[in-house]
Amino acid sequence: MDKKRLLMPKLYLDSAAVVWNGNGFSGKESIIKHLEDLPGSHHTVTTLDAQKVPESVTGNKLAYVIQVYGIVKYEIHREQKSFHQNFMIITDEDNKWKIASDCFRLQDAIQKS
Amino acid sequence: MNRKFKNKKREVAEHKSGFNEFPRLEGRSQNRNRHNYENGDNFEIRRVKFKNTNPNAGRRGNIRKEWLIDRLSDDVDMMISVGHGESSKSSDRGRRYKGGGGGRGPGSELAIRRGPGLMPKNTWFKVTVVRGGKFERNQLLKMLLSYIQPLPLIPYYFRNNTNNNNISFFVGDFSTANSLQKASGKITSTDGQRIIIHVFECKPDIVLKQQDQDKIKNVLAKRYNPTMKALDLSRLYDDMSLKAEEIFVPLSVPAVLMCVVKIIDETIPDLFALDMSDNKMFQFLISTPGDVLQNLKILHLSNNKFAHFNSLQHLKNMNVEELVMKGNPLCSRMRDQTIYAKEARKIFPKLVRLDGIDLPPVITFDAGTPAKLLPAQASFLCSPEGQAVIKPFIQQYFEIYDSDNRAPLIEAYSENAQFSLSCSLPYPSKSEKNLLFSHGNPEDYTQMNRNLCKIKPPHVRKQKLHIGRENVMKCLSCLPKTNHDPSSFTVDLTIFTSQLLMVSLSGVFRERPVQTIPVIRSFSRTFVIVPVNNGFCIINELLFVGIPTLEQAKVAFKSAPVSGPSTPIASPSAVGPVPIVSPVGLSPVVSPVGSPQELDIATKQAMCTALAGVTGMNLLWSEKCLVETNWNYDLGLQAYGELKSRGVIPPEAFIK
Repeated sequence: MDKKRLLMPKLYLDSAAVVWNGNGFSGKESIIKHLEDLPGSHHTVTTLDAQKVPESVTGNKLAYVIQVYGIVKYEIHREQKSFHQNFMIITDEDNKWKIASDCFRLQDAIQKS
Repeated sequence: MNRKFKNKKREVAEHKSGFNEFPRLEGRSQNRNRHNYENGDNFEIRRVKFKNTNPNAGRRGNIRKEWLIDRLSDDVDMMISVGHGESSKSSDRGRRYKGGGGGRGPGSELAIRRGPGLMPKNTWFKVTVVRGGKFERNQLLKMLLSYIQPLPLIPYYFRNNTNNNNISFFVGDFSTANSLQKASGKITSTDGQRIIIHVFECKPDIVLKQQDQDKIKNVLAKRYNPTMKALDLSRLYDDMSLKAEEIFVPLSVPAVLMCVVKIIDETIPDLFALDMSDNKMFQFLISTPGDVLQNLKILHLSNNKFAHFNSLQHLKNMNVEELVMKGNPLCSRMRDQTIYAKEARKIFPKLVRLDGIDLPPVITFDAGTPAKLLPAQASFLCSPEGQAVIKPFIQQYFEIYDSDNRAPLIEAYSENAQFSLSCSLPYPSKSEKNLLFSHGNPEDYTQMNRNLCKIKPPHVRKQKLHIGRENVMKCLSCLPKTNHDPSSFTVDLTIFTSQLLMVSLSGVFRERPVQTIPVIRSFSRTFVIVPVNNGFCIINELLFVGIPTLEQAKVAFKSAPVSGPSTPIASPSAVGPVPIVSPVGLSPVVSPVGSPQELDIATKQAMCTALAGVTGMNLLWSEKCLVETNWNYDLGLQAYGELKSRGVIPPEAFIK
């Protein structure tokens, strides 16, 4: 994400859902556009937890849910912010991990209309 | 030393030639031809320079009269940047002595000036004629002029001090000031008295009254060329109409400059070109830096006293494209045109022309325009139908989770549900402590922390992963009692298929019982939910607990929970019967409250539940509290806080 963002799209399933701070992107093109539009970043993961999703519900595919917490500094900002992010990763036909779901949140007070 | 004098000469030469080269501004003032009249540029001959024959002269006594200057170039800097006004002058003196002492070797050249040290670089000199008030104004000026001729005498801000009958005025010309100082005690008036004159450099202490400002406004209007959108303020202090009105407007005085800039900004916001040359300015201080005259593209500041581009810092965000700085001390300091242009561009990044010379364009890499982050949305649902499942799920889950008994939640978990908790709750440093929230006891969570970044042994990892609904419930029941703020929630539904749902939730909660400084924590929960029979249940849950941001803590629990926990998902108010396994019969049973108030029973019940949730009191007492405060939730909470702190709430209020 921080250094080789070009390769990022490869990590996602074609049907993956990416939600960034409440803004959703689905489909490869939309995800690529989103990744291009994000300013340069530097993430540091401080907390990580993961659980296996029972195969009974994933159609016998190996899948994990991952939850991370850390600090991100965007090059357009002076200060760093905390972020939450979770993923569901799943194996594809070539035995590669692919991201099925990616949900990112900056830790911030939310403005509601 | 000679070299430095040459520089001065060059600067003077630039000074003169500069006047004819302001091609782009029209409507110049009629005063232009008077430049050479007052600008007696012959100050060089006034500078006395001789070998230092007595190295101790400076230390012995006559310090006040004769002082040493070893490096004239440094003086320029000091005097322009700080040496205005009496107080700073004296501190300059101190510095100069030190410098002089260090630099004095055998035979080193020193320039010593007689008198109280008028500096040719300074801007304004205040002339005080002791008891000059007894003369008629013209008579006095004539007497003075007759002594200093052929130098000109142009007095500004002519004032008679009624207390001591002294006359004071300002002159802008160094030679005149120097001459006047020498004239002290040498002019004898008609009544045989010698006239005593004091001269010192001084920042004019001008106060512009409202009526003065109105007159200045008129003068600006006269000097404004509306077709060119150009305003000529060159030599403003010498303006005929202002002089006729006895208004002295020296733009080198920050208060005056601020006032004038404010007038311009208010009356001519679309000003395109501004000429402020020849105003003895050495610093551009304005009250709202970077926020004025955004349409200004051409700025002339030539023949002022700016010693460094830093003195223009307040203009930093302006869109000036063409700048004229000729004839300022900073020009002679920067011999390299490239550096000069670079420094100018630091203040005015959009500069394309400097002193009439086109600058090479700034070449940058095309890395695209810096991207902006998308504004955060409270909620994202990948499927609109998901809302009907998610909203009641969250509502009911937290209703029970925030109650005193979490046991009913077991119904929401699948037989093989997995739960793990990770946290980042470092002990706060002193500077992080605040009055908004306290950090409580992190150990409530840290002992369960399954941070895989830190926990490596597989058996510990396994041990901290809780599998099976009973284990999950055991775990959840151990966690501190809470009170979630639904208005802080963000809800994202990323997967919604017939096999599974993935929901992410984040926000803040506080721990119960609520202290004066509450323990507020941020959380993020990831749920994997699967359909079971006619409902849904949780199969994976990851909970993260952290420290809220100050902003989160500030707004937390500020919106009163009138209708109990709600999610941020906008939806039709009535959600139809949703087939969720857990909720049936699990919602806290609220005994019906008979009430004559206009609020409906449901609202009141919700308020009771909410108050009970916050305070830890049972519903009966929560209701009592609300009845007494006329069903005002905030007052009720306040009353609880007061009674609690006085310790008068009976223990039975907390028995469920």
